[in-house]
Amino acid sequence: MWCPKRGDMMIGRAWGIVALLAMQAGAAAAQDHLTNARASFIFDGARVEIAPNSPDAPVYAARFAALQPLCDPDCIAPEAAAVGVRTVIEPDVLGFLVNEVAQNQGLLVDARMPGGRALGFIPGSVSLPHETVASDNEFRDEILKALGARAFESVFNFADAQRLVVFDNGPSQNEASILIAHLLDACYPAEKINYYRGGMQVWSVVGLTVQE
Amino acid sequence: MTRQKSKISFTSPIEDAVPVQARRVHVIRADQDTPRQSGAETATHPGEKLDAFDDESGSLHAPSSKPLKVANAPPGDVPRAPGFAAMGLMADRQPGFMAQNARMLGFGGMVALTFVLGVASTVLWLQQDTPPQQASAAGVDERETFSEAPTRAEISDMTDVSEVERPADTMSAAILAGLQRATSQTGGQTATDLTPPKIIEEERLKSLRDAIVAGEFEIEADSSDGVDRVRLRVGDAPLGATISPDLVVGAGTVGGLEVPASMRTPEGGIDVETMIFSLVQNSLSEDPDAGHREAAIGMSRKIFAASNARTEAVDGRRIYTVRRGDSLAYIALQFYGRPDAFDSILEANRDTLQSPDEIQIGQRLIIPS
Repeated sequence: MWCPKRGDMMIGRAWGIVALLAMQAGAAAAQDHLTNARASFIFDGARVEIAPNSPDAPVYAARFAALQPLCDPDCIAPEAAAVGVRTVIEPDVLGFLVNEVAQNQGLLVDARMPGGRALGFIPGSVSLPHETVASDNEFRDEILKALGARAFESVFNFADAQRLVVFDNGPSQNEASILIAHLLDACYPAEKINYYRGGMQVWSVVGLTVQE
Repeated sequence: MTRQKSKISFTSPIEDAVPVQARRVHVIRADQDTPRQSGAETATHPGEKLDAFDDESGSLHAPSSKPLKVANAPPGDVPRAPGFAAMGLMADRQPGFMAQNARMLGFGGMVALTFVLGVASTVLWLQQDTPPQQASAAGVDERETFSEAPTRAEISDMTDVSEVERPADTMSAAILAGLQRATSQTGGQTATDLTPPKIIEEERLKSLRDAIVAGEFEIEADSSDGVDRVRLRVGDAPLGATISPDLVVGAGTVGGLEVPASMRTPEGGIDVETMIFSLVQNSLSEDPDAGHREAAIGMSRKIFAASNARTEAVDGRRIYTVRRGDSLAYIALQFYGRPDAFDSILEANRDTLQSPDEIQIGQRLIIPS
């Protein structure tokens, strides 16, 4: 698929910088919260609270740690999911939830298939199973439109598309990488995608709230 | 011999003011140079000679013909007779001598004119970056003068005119346009001067179509005006630069032709890029060849995908804020892939927008999904 060269598009760069600044601002805000590592925001019409020292965190940590690696055999997810896609950590995710997701500017995306999500997920995240965005999936175009892309004659414009943070079960899994590859294949701009590599495994180990 | 005769002939304009006796010397010499030449015509009839000379002076053939006629006298005749005839002829035609040598004068005039024009165009070419020179040269070549307003910085081909932006002074541009049209109509030397102006030349349109069908075009971001725009680039020039170089972009008109209101910008200018885009695309869309029609959609695909126009969601509706250089057709191209889809935007904004050319910078438009 032909994609416009985003590097040429000044506005794309500008927004990339804005997103970066927002991330850093979020990170800074999260740094302030790091002692108690909590986030509180409205998502989908309801208030979401994320707090550290979640009482059931050890249960989730054990559950996610016990998962078999999805990629052949015993692979460990690389640091970066793809060229141009930034890898983020927990304070970034908390900042993103407060500053982007709550403002309808971004989405925290769970790339796992429904079975994986059923094990527990980050509050404020949306489920976007990676197979639904595969190029041969008939619903892909509708999903891309739902993410804010506009369509014309089988091409997409992503100027209005949401900024994303994509995660999966964690470093022993590669579903987030698959979803990111599908998005890039559909011309979703890399600068609008972030990769939370820690995923549910690290999220639960550090004791952050898990929803089920 | 012929050469000598030619020489005589060439000197004759100068002799116009020389007394008759002096001229006779030449004529006689010409006569003597050709003693053996037998002419079919007789020189004994001055009347005939006169006719012959009249014919010759009116023709554009080699200037040696006049003395040749003199030499046509049969050698058996009295040498003076042809000389007399020639001399008499010249004396008779004294008042018409200028007319007789009109082609000499015309030739000289052409040489001088060519020289003057050459010098003038050289000076013009060398000085084209200095506006005052251009202003004073308006009478020589209007096209060079007009190229002062558009920027030529982006083009490498000096014979081409780059994207014509709205001249700083629309009034003066309109006046110059009027002058240009007046001169091209009154001084029309060829039939093409009288044909109505074309926004894009046939040849150029054809080459653009070919390039687009072959996929030999690319998308580029233009932020020269401080506002990011996307446009197609074919070869080494943006699409808008392919406008006919002698057309003037004025207030609402290009080359004197009224431009659709949907192609007007908030600044009162013309969105030349979208206008040419639309012309080329419509031309391809009407082609019976399916590949051409597909190429027409391909043009839109590229612009659509690369567009950086953003909207904000307000109460579930997409709101776009008009930027500098926007035309309603360009906005429609970015959101719907078609410049002529502007009417749906117009319809959705009836309360605040009555006509496509009334869009204002900063105006918030509903973009219907």
